[in-house]
Amino acid sequence: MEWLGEKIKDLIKENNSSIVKLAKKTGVSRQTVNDWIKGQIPKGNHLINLCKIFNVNPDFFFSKDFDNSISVPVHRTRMTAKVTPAMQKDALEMVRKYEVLFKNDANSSILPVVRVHHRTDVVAKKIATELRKRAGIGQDLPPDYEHTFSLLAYLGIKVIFRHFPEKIKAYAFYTKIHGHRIVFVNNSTNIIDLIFPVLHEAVHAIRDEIQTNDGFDAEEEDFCDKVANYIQFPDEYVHMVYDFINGLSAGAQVNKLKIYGKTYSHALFGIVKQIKTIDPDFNLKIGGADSNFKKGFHTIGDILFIGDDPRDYVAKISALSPLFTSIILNQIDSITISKLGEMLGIESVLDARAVKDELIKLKSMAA
Amino acid sequence: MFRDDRYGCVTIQEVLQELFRTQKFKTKYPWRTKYKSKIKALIKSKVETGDFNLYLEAIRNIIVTGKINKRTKRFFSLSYIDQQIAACSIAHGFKLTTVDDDLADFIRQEFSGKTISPLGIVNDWIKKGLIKWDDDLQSILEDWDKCNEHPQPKKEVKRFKKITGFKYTGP
Repeated sequence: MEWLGEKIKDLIKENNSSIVKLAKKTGVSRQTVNDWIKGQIPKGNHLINLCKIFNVNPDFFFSKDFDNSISVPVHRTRMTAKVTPAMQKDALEMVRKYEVLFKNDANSSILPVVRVHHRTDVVAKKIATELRKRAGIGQDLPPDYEHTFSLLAYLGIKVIFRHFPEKIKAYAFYTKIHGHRIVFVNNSTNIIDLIFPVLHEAVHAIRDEIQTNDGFDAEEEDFCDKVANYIQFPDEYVHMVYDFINGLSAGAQVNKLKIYGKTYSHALFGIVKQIKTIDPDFNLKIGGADSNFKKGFHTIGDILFIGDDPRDYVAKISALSPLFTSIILNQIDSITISKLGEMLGIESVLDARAVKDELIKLKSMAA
Repeated sequence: MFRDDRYGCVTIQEVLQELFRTQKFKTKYPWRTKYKSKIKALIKSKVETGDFNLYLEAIRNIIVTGKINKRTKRFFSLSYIDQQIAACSIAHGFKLTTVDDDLADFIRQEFSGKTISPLGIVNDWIKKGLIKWDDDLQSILEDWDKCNEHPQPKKEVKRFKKITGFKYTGP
């Protein structure tokens, strides 16, 4: 969106007026009117005067085209939901609330980008192994949600936890705002369902290749899925689980998988899918069992807001999303309480004032 | 004080909703229940009279396009509710009271709008004889301090001491 100062010139002409007359009417100098025409946004009360003099609305002076400061947000949904224009619109509206925050934060850091010639399985595995290593995810085990978010921080990704409007049927999505890599995470997502989509979006972020109009590239999606799968389920772990359950009855297999899932924070569906890649004949049905299993886990929102304590909440977001928290801290003195509540998505849960006080304390401690 | 015109206080529906729908406020501000019946928001048709929508549209455009706060040297960043409050105060010529410096900066810088401190409001009420300052009310000043309220303007602190004869124990 930009200020269209040259429209003032057209209005002057249409109204048989002049810059001098307009300057007089608005109570400013001729130079000021010239500055407006050249692109300087007038002060609010001068803008109102211009609207009244020319009988137009403020919208008239601003382009409705948004620049490329925000990339297409949602291009993939949870389960079978379709990406709809309404979903895109709501997501963009939600993302725009953060535009000024990231605009205010000059992004000059060097960030890793992964370029590949062929999006093969071997390459996906290689990238996953490297990412696991760099994030310090050891022992060939699935990462828990804390490890997952530390990987995102390592990759320079800012994570924003918030409740998504009903129309945005996604667990998480990646977008870029003024060059910052952002992954939005839906607070109502079960922690078990969260790790894979967050990893998927993280791979999108480092691929940095969303170029099509609707942001959807099936091959790229498939590639991001593969990398995310290999990060979450390294071969060694899949083999270990498979060796352990192979030959057991279906019921025993489900029970053992539940133990693994509980210990290593993953859904049954995910591991079964991976086992099928090493044994195509493996045909365990886990639909209902998986749904029941997930009921035993919290949503990420539950984890963030347990106890409804602003201090705990601030400690949690600064641990899980250090980069986003750091940007908030840098600007905390100039963020209004209401805006802070809006950006953190805490309006109806926590007192934004108390959260702001905690963030200020955190900032002074860091200093 | 919002139902009695003599106190000269108004707020908008969105602020009222925020105050009463946030669960945490129930314990943090126990007085909110006591005062619930006294706080009344302006009705929508009253807020949206005159130039309100013109101001709101102007504010929205300015914020989205990006305007630098001359004091902080950062772009103004106001929430939807902040924008509504700003539009309401400017369109209707209300003085704005807020703990948010950025919001106050915005209405002063962009619209030469006027602001008033909470202590300024209290002083006005005392001066008009609407409230009589006593020890009970004095304890509110200590609450302000505990709640980390902004330091009140020196001019108003001086005025407070003069009109009440009490020591100023607030922020």
